[in-house]
Amino acid sequence: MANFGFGIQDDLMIDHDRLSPAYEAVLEEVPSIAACISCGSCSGTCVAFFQSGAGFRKLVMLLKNGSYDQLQQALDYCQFCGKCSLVCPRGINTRRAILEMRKQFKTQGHDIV
Amino acid sequence: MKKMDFDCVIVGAGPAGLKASSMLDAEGFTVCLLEKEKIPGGKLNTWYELFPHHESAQAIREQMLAATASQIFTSVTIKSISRTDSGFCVRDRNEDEYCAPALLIATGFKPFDACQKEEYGYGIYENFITSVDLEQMFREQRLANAAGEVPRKIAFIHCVGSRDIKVGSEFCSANCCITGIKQAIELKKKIPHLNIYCLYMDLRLGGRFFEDCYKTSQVKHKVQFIRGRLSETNENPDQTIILRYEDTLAGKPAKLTVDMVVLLVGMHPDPSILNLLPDIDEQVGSDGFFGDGMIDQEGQSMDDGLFFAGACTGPKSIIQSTDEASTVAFRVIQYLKEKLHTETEDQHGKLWIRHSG
Repeated sequence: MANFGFGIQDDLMIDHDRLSPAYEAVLEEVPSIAACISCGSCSGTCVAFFQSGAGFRKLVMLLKNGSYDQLQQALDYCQFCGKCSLVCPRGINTRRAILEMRKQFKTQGHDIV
Repeated sequence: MKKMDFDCVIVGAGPAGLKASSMLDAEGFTVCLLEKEKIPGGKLNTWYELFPHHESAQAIREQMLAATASQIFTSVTIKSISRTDSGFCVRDRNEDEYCAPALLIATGFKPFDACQKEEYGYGIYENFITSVDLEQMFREQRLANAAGEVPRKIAFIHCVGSRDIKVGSEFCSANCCITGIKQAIELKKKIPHLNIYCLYMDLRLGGRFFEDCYKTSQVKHKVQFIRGRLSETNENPDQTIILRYEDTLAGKPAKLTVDMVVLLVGMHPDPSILNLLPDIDEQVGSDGFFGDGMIDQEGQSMDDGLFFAGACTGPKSIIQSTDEASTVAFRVIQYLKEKLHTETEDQHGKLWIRHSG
């Protein structure tokens, strides 16, 4: 992408009126993501957090709020270790959900550097 | 003007009053219930279904009324309450007197007046209703916005008149979170394509089966929970409402447009009986509810004939109110036995014999 010498800012405000088709699609495959209570136990245990800056609960939040760019960047770093699914108090199938998110955005993923 | 004597006078024929009266009846005491409304049942006449099991409020009311044999006086407005040598005398507007050695106050709570939260717009915008209004809509089977249309998007606002120093109530009403979730589920059952958003600060779901309700509402009914307290609202020309708040989990301000807003109003103390009770000041807590809420039983052993039960001693669900009423009824029974009975022994052991005077 051409460098114009300035970046494009993220939306300053979240518009909850805007629908998130990707969220609906993932929800269809993994209904348990609706049970997320944003407790953050997933982020605390995440091995890729310092690369991605987002635990599972934040992925769900970005997906819901339609912040797809940020979500795709974060998704890339998931190692599918499954620790988030071990600690989740609501029993969410987090790995499956992340896989579905990746399918939505067709991202490849890369190793932790 | 007539004077009537009982063993116990109960003010308020809601769940707590009815429960206590049925227990006192069973022990053979004569009880009268004084109710200011036209019909007994208290808030059970307001609610449609009760959390967490969606039981019919009407059915519970019938059950509780059937269980009591006490005399119920309705449309009673109390003018004065005085302490006499033999207990209490309650005088109403018609100068009728209800006298008894024991007086049980079960006057309940009053829902927060949402007009006080001016920035929200209840009473200004037509598509704002309270959780109490919504119960009424369920009872009348009339789920529509101000224009008479079935809504497509509804927002529930938690903590209206609770945990808010600006309206003078810093306490948590404890029952609004579950009320909102119960109502969201009921709405989804009746209007399947409805989008429901709950704006909450914390979800305080301490009761049994409340968490089940919460999870069901999320997974089965797809109710969306947004963490953030509503800051301000505006009305569009088409009478839809724009809500502004922060999505505190995302750390960004956010907006949402909805057809209707339901304010989950808190439970406030009802001070109207306060002015009538003699020497009551020391028995009111900083939150305006009766009693001190202590586990220490020291104060309770010094019962002086005046008792409190139900939501007038703090925000309570119906089951908590009736549980407390049972406990208090037991204390009333102990008190009345000491006051009215003499202990005599016969060949079968101890017996309580009733005084005639």
